[in-house]
Amino acid sequence: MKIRDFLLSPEVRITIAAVAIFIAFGLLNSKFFTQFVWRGILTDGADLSFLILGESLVITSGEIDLSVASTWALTAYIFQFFTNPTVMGGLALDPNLVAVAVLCLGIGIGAANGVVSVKSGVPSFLVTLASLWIVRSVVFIISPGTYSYLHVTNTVFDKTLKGYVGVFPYEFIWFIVLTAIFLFILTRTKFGGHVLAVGGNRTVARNLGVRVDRTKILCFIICGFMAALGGIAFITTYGVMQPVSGMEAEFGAGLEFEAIAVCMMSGMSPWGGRTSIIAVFIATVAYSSFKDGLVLSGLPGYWYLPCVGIMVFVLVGLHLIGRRRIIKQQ
Amino acid sequence: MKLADLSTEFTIIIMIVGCVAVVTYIEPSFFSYATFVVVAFTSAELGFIALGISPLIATGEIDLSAAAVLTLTLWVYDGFATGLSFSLPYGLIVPLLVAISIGFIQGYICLKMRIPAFIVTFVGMIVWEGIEVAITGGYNSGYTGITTGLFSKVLSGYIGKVPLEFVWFVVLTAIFAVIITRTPFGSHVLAVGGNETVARNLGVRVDRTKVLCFMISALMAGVTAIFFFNRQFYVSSTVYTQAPLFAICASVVGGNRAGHANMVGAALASILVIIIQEGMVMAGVPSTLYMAAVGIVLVIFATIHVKARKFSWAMVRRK
Repeated sequence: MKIRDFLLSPEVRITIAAVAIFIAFGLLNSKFFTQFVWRGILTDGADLSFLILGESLVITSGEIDLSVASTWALTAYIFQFFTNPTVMGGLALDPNLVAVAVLCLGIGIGAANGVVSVKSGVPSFLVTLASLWIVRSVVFIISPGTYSYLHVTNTVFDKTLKGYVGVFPYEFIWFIVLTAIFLFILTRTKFGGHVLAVGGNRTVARNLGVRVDRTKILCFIICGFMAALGGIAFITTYGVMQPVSGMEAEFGAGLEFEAIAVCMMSGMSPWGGRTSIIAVFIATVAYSSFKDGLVLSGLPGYWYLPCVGIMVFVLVGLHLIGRRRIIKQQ
Repeated sequence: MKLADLSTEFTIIIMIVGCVAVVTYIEPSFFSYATFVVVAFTSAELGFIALGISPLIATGEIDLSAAAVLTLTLWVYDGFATGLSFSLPYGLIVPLLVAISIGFIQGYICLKMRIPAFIVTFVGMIVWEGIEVAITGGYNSGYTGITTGLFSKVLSGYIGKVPLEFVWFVVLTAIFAVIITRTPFGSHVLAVGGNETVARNLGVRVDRTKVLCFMISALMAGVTAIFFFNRQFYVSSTVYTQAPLFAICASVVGGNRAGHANMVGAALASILVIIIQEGMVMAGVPSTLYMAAVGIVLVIFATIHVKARKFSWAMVRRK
């Protein structure tokens, strides 16, 4: 690999962008480079990371999953409900068992998305849009319009998710480990190769003997699993959620788009087949530092959305230019 | 025209009749003039957006920014009508130009830079809505001029007992249907959606066709804003935030997909979506649940359309 190619890789591009973001916000606010702020940034990034990693796998296989945030909210609420005897109808089940059941629920939702989308041939955008609405409605049916507090403490998740090692929250260490696992899956296993092949060229992959449908369904299943894990991690770290406010079950709405935006920031191909998990990792940190940096910079909250949108757009543009350079060189 | 060609419309009409029958059985007051007026207004406004998105979906692209374009246009229109004291008919020129330029910008970026429409219009949605919220600070504002002018009456009054907005909806559906089935532009849209390479080799200017479709989509969101303003006379940044997804849903249920367009189907499906929504409210079901109902209808119809004919979609086809 030539040095020039290396400089044009998505990892390097996103790292440069991240450093630029750090410097810009560091100059805007002297408190940016403090442990307090960075604990917040890394926690925010880690909260979203579960959805991002799952989504990145689905996008790599050439599909999209819009239902992750709904699954996330549903699993977080269910985990709380079945371990909390103090709410009406709540049960005091063993949190570990509930966690396993909730993860199975995530797998089930993912499998439903995958099977319906792949077997019916309807674009996953539409199928998962429908399941976004359906799962959100389930949240609406089963949850009250009040705050729900997590009752149990001292679970496995409690011990491994709450707390800090220096500036790093435990949750962020989960993120690092999960990134490593995903990196291993995508680059070192047969399944990862199949995912990349299916995303790159479905027909060729099929002719080479890859079971296309099964691979895609597995990606959806992993995505649902990660969303459920993210839900458990969220409710464990924060201990409180309000699934329904007013007449809307809006808790976590829009996180699916944030996850997709971060995936695009990382420079993966929107059509699938080309993904760098390391770039996804850096993009997650860059995204959450941008979000928190905006707040620190004192900009009115109204400017928050346009700034995030423009930042995502600029990064996608940079990746496209870089990608075109590489193609030209070849 | 064979009977089978009309199967989508028939199925949707049967579903509309079925929904009305079921809800009327549960809540007899549903079958009334008041319900008709509500359904007419809301389905017309959803239908405008769905009609605008349909040609774009037929070319194999997608537009998520309709709600943001709608609120931005609404705000610009209010600025011209209230702030600058333009009369309502003259004040709409600049807002609609704003909407069209947004469509042009999104289409241009999408096609020249080869970024998927999904990403461009999603980022567009954030940016346009963000700009509106950032400048207004999220406050609602209302029109202080005369609200009973002729122009407002032509747009949102009544002819006899029928809301004129619904008449406009029927007229626009007919215009869109004629454009898609009877004009060269319509055939270009279908050709581009069906097979881009073949269309290009046949001399269709693919990018221009698609950019025009993006502009139509944004324009129709702007038109919806004009209708909304002339009916409600207020501006809010939370108007129709769910509209683009339901409009895409209505468009797909109506039989639009890459290479296939069905404007009558899209219009009927908008009515179906609204009837499901209003019907569930009238039947005493929490309104949020109607998302689930619409979602199920969406998957069923999309599957039927796919199984009926071969399906192609930009996100799959581009590989």
